[in-house]
Amino acid sequence: MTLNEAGVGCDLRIEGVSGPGCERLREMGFCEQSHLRKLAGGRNLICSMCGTRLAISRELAEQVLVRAAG
Amino acid sequence: MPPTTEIAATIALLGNPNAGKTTLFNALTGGNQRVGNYSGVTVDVKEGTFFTPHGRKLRVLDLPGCYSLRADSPDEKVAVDALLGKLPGAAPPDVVVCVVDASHLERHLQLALQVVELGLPCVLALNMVDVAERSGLRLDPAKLAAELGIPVLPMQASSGKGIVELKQALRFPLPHAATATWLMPGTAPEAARRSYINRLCELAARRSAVHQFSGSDRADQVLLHPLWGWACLVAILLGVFWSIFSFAKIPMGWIEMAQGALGAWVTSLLASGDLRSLLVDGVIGGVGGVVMFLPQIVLLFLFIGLLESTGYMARAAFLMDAIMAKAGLRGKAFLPLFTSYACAIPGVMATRTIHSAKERLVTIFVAPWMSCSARLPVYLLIVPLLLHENEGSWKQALVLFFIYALGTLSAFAAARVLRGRLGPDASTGHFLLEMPPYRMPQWSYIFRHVVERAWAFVRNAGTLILGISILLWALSTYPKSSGGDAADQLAHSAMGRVGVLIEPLVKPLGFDGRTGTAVLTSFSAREVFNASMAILFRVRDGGDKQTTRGMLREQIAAATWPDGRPLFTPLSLISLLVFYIYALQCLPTVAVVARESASWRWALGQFTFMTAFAWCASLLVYQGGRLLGF
Repeated sequence: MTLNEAGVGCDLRIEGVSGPGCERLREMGFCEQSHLRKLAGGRNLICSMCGTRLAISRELAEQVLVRAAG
Repeated sequence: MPPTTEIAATIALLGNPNAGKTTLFNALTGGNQRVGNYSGVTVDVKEGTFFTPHGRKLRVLDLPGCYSLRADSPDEKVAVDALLGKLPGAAPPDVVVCVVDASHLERHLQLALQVVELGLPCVLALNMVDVAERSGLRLDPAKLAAELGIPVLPMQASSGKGIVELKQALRFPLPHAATATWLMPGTAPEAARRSYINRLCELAARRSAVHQFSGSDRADQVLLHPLWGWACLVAILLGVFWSIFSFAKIPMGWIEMAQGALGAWVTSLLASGDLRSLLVDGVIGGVGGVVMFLPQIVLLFLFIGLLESTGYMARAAFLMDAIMAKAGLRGKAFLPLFTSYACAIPGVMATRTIHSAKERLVTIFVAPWMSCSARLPVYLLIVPLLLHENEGSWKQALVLFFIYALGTLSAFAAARVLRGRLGPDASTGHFLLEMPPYRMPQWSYIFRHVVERAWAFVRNAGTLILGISILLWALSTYPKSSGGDAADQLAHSAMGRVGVLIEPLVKPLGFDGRTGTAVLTSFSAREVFNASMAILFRVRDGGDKQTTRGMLREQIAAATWPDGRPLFTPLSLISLLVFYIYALQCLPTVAVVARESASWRWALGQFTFMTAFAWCASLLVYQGGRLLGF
């Protein structure tokens, strides 16, 4: 599923990052195998990753594939 | 060894935005660069010097924050050019101090590895270790140093811890360049870096697996809430403006008193004549009328500093993204536009954090329409006149609010039209913003910054505005007429003649030649308008500023056209207000726009457009109002 589809409050693991904004996403830490928690949805999403909160747009979140962290 | 004055080497401070580079720079140099808890506070290379414990003098460069050496925003490009020695007249640095936030090593180490790959000698400053350890991170700097092959120094730059150790590490001979052991043939550098960093963090920066719900998370639950978040933002912005207008009154009263006393003292010392007139009417009256607004400017910069330093500015940008999108912009345009309420110059400079070149140009273009603090004196002069009141009623506050709203909405509308015309960007810029943890404000740095801005304002008042005040006084005093009447003298003076010349241009807007001349003089800086009006309408200093402004208002209200009609009707006052809302009357802003957009054409185009727009809008208001019978 994409990061947009994930539920708020879920702990997630990134499976893939692809799309026109992926280079910027990778620089900000959105890389395969990274763990994150989705803190808020809406027009822009808020995620917590490695102790940092990041706000990203829905268009960018669509380029991040995640699955629930086991 | 005695300290030497020759620069022995150049050190560059590099790191992600908000990693603490400027704090470290200030700690090293004892400087007073502004520190924010918001990306993009440093948008240019700052330079300073410090001495190593062995007395060698080192030059230190504070580079703008960047996430990688790919450089897609102008401030990142500045940082990369400085590293590669591409900036004019600068060689590559001898050592790069990579400043990383110890809590976010996974992300911040990316940049440090890229610097090592460039073959530049590197020292890793592991900043904010206290915060990292409090959040449950177990750091092992020695292991990090052994793995990376570069010196690693844990520190807390904000409290000065670890600074001496860093200076020790920068002793001669300087550290050598390390080898990028993670680069393997056949593996993409990005992937190689990523897996190396994962291994490194596993070894030397172990994070507890459980997601920790911090105080910042709790605060964000309210401050980013779809309803409460907005309520807080509106309350904070209103609070800022209310405080500026009400708290500034007290020190403004002191300045008025001092100015009145100075005027009276000079009057008692000198005999009546040109010299006394020059000092009292020209210098004290002209400069004093502008210096009066210093407390408001100080307060505005204090609040902006506070919002940045606590980390709230990023939240405001997050919330404002939805509104900015309506103008075709993104949340990052909020800070430049908000700063422009204080002054368009720092506002235009703050656009450097916007990645999209076209969005940045649009933001630069509309920023001067956010009513800056220099327009306030003009508004404060005209609005009470419009309402036939003295200063300080709620109706005036409401009119002021509408003035600010008109400027802001016009800026948004212009941004939308312009953004549509410029077309899509070559690279799609999406909203991506780091939300720093909330921190206690760093008061010492905020105060130093405020003092710096205040000094810049006073210096401007003491040079440009002083010069213009003297020039205006001379123009309205010479050539001397034979009659003793003040009105005759003014009509005979150079100023009176200029007024006659430009009257046909401003008459359709409802102004006479004198008002036209005052408007003309305020093209150098808007706040000159009040001083010019006082000189043109022959208002003497009334002891305190409010009285002087009251006297000026009385003079303006009593002024008539030659046929006896009142010079200023409510309609012509509104026309004047509209002109000031839209006209770009600030030469320093034009110069900064030319520098930031790298195009004098763009800057002059903006100046011409805004002046023409202001003239047309005033014409529409005045002539339209007259047609409607006002």
